Amino acid sequence: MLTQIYYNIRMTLRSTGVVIWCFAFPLIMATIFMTMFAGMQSNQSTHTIKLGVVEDTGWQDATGLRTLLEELAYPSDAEDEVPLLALTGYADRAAAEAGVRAGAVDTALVIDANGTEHLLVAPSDAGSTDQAIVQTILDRYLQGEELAGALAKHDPAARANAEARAALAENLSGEQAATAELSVLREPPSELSRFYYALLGYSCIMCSTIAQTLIDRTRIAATPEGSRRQVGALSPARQLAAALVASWLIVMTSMMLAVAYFYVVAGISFGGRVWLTPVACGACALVSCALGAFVGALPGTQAGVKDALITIATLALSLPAGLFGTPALEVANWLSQHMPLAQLLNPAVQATEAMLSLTFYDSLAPFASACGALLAIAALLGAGALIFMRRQRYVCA
Amino acid sequence: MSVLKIAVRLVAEHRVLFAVYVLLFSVVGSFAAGSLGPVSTTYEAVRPGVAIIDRDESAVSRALASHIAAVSELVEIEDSTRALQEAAAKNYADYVLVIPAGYGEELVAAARAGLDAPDLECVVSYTSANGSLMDERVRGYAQELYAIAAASPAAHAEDLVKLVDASQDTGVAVEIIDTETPGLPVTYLVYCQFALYALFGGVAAIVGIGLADLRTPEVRQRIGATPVPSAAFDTQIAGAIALCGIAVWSINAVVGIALYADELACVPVALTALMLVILFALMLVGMAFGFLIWQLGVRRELVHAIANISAIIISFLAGTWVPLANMSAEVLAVARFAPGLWAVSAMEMLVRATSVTGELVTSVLGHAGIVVLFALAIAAAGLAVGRARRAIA
Repeated sequence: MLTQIYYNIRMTLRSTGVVIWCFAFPLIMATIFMTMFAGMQSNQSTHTIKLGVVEDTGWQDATGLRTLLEELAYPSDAEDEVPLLALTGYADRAAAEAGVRAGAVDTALVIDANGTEHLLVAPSDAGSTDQAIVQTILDRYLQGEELAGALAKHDPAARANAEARAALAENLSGEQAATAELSVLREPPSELSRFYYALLGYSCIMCSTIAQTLIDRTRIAATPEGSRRQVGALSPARQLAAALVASWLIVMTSMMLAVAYFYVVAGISFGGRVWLTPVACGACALVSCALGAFVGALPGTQAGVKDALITIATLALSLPAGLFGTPALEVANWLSQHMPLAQLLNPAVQATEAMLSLTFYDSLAPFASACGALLAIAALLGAGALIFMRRQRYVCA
Repeated sequence: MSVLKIAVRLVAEHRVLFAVYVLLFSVVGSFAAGSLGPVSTTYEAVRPGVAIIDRDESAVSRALASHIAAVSELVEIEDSTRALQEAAAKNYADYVLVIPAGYGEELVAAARAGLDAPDLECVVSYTSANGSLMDERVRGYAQELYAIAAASPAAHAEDLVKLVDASQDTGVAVEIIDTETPGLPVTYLVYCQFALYALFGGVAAIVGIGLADLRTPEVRQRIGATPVPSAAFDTQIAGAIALCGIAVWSINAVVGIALYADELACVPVALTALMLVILFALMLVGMAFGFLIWQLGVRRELVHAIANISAIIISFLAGTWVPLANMSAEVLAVARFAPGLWAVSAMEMLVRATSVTGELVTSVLGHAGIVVLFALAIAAAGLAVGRARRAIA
């Protein structure tokens, strides 16, 4: 049996398809993620919004607003701090409109002859977050003026006092009411790590092609090799066991290789619990073998169809795990919140979930339940494969 | 013409590849575009996903919560560590606001004593600037309450809230710049960006797989023995490859125009035509790459791998999946040496344009020209490989 395992492994690793899709592809994708997002984490919260201003008399007259915006554009206190705004001056409204339309600035501010502020946005990107941030800053300033006016009406005597007016203005633009960011996770979350974990989910499904090929090679009437092997001396059960052990070992190696690459090269820390990753990978590899056996056992399907089935399963199951970019992550979130059962039965999602809970959650219970779900899926698929294989053997005999 | 006919028949036998690479990827592109939602003609500020956990339940906290709810999409999150952790790790909301117990009273008291108000707690998402936007809105509202509380020492919390809420309608007017004609819809831009995959990887895979049979030694030997000069053979193969490319380009273009017919109808035809020119240039790169793969004599099962992986890399480097603005300078420098960046930047120019000017046409055609140069370079490499292989043979 050891010889069988050894040759099964050698045979599999000679197939270029397996080497590319099960071993090289996750590493290539990880490298792409790594280089593509290298600059991303740093510019998330601290980026500068490009605001155009029409520098006409209206702008010169709006002293309060101008001071506020200039302070935001050229912060005096911290030199290394990234300013929130970058101001670009335009001579008139037409020039500002051209600048906005060409994308030179995110939005532009015009103060008309009546002293009313207008923000100009381009039709092609109306409603961006950066525009909303500028809008919020301006709104807050205008609301401050409005509030001061309302208070003056309310209590004219007190508002006549210059000192009280100054105190109000100072409070309105002050920073006394602040927010503090909570850190609820073991380490800061990042979109990036979810892509890496989704890659492991992908591997888990894609690698089932290994088990499928190896098992088919032991089954009578499934492949010519299978028929030949079945007349050999080794019992069918031991052949099947050898195929399963060999494919489990290969899948496990593929996944651990990916984990090692993520950990060492991509700098994914797994929340300092990298020693627990083999548990999840082992469970994933089991699912992989069971899925391969199941697809291989489907009665009346040809090899090409089985290949296509596995490819489709890989793409379809990896999507809810969030492999294909941010929109896929949104689909994944929607499913987790509205159709938890579909996510529970999806091995790619559970593989991602296991790594995610390992990294971010304090308690290991979610990790254990994800691994449990993986084992249950493996058991289900394995049982299905067994039923089909028995029936088919009965028919063939 | 016999070789051309055979080549076309061989490709036609693999028509399922057209369905998978061209139709499927075109549909994926339209789904990605659909996630953007319809383009509106009026400005609406973004409404980030926000979850509010109110542990205070005072007049102030309720007012803050309803103010935030009015400018965002509310997401339900339970008040437990596990739920908060899950929400943060999976980014269920851009911003989670936790109002601590006793916040309302303490804010008013602090304002009247001239002290700093207690902190509101928040969990800010890792994606986009939406989290920072919500933080700005929350702090803005709380600060207004603080200032008003300090200025009216005797007023009840309810009255303070009323005053502040009354001022919330005041704000800057946001105007969408008027244009005589609308530009290309952004949804169509996303569709075209995704078309890059089909036009590059799809064409390469179809050419690589479809014509693989013409490279088997037996077929080569027989063709070598026929009275077809090798130049004529090469030309006919080039013709077959060109037909594949044009077929893929036309399918993609027709699907795109059919999907966005309504929006495109009111856009100057020249803009759509220029977009199709860019896509055509991209298709030429795919064709050249397919030719290179074919010349290299790559094995059939490897063609898929090579076409897909290179299409993924090219799409990434073009900023199709992650905006180029989010990439580091080093990656941008590398992206300049890939065709996708030039094509996508020309597409963006087109979407920003609202009328066809000579300047626009020259710069778009200039970018498309650079893309064509990439195609020429790859095709030249293919020719060189073919020559080298023939010399060895």
